[in-house]
Amino acid sequence: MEPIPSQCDVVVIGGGPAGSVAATLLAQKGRTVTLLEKQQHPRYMVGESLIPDFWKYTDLIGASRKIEAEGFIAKAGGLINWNNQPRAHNFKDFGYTRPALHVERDRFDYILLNHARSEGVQVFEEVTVTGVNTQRDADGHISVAYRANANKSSGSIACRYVVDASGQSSVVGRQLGLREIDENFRFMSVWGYFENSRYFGYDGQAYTADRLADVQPTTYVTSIEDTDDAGWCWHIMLRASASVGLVLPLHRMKEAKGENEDWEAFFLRKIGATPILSDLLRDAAYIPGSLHMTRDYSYRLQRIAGPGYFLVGDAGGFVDPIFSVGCVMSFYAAYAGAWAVDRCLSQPEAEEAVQALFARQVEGRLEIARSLALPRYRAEGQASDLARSALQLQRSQVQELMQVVSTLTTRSENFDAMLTEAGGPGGAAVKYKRFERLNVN
Amino acid sequence: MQHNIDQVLIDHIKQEFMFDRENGGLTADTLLIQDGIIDSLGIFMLISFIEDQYGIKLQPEDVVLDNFETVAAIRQLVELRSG
Repeated sequence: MEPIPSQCDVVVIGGGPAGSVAATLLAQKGRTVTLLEKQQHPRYMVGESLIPDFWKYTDLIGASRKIEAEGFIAKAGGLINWNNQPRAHNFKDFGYTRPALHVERDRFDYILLNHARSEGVQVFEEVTVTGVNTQRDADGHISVAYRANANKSSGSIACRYVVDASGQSSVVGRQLGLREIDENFRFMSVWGYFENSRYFGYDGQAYTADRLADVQPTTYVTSIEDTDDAGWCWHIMLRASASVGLVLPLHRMKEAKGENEDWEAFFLRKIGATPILSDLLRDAAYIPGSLHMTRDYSYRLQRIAGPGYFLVGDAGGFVDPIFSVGCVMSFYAAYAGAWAVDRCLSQPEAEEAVQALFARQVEGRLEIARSLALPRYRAEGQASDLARSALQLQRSQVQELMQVVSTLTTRSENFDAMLTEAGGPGGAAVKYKRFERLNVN
Repeated sequence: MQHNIDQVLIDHIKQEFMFDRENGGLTADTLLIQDGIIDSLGIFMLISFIEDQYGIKLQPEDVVLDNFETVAAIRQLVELRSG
């Protein structure tokens, strides 16, 4: 293996989707890019549902064919059962021509990281970033300190910019003390995997797993009763299993769990007590040891760009994942970040303006996501202006899709007002399908 | 001058953003954002283009619908920042 270089234009921290896309775009612009990833890919990751917007990013970096060749599951749409009002929507109704996918993220992320490599990014795995020195030296360099896990050797790279795509580790954000947990939306998630689960098609009918080849699945979301709009579950069919997760406010999760109950038992009990979802899992087998959890979100960063650094993907903020926009938000920030780094490298004197431009656009998108996904969340002051401005820059059909999505749960009540202020489509669009009830035979 | 900037922008948008579709009808008043000709990524490419082409610097708050809704709007932005 080649040695880690001591100097380059840009260091990207993290080889998830945001890091791979940002690094690839910068390499394609002719910049020298070193990407440091602390794990060895393929590695496990959650967040398996992708809305079809992601294709335009994989088109841009030239990775779409590789993703198509993998044969991930195309989904038919979303089926949201909120307070016993099941409704389904699909993306075709809003001008999308390519499918939303359910992906095993170890594979999806691996494809993108390998693509980065093939486009000239120097990728080093099992290398942990231990700190970033954003003080510029006389030559205008900042530095990134790392430790190689294999031989415990350490070193540092002098570079002009750092793109932090380290996910929830949020390396730069934590180091600079920029990360803030949103106390009003302090959620926790527990999830696991099941073999042989049934799933819902877009017709609202349940199918057995062996029908996946001929009936596309929906992403199924259900609210959890008596949690004041905060609790919900996901059910996502993958090729060999179903990903099933539970999201609750941290305090409710702790209240609900028995004192001597382990997390696995708690998870299975809670899922088993969720109507309809438990029917889908009636003949399914939980895969032992497949339990995962994450706590303490949502969070935001006080700022997402500063002298020498840009924060993209989950390193720049995390919102409740209910509408499957995580990867696409990450790609957007990665694209904007790569654009901004490239502009700054060409015109160092414009750094401040470019960073402010990046931050306004990306923050605006994050605010839209918060308004849609967090119960009774209201963007205020500048955040509200940025969100409105970002909404106005979306094509009409995407605004319409967001409006429909906002009516599917009771979490987005402030979104409609924002959309109206932004001059978006008036009146309630009814491009969704309503079901009286869902039955699992 | 005005007509000139419009034409440069129209040619650029046709070439970069509409190469794969019918583009004969693009005028200075065609809605670029609402109709999806320029998406949220295209905006960044367009910013680079007009800054480099006209030697101007946009302000962070310039990147709003009012300034990018049509070719005519972009031209006014270019003129404002050239001033």
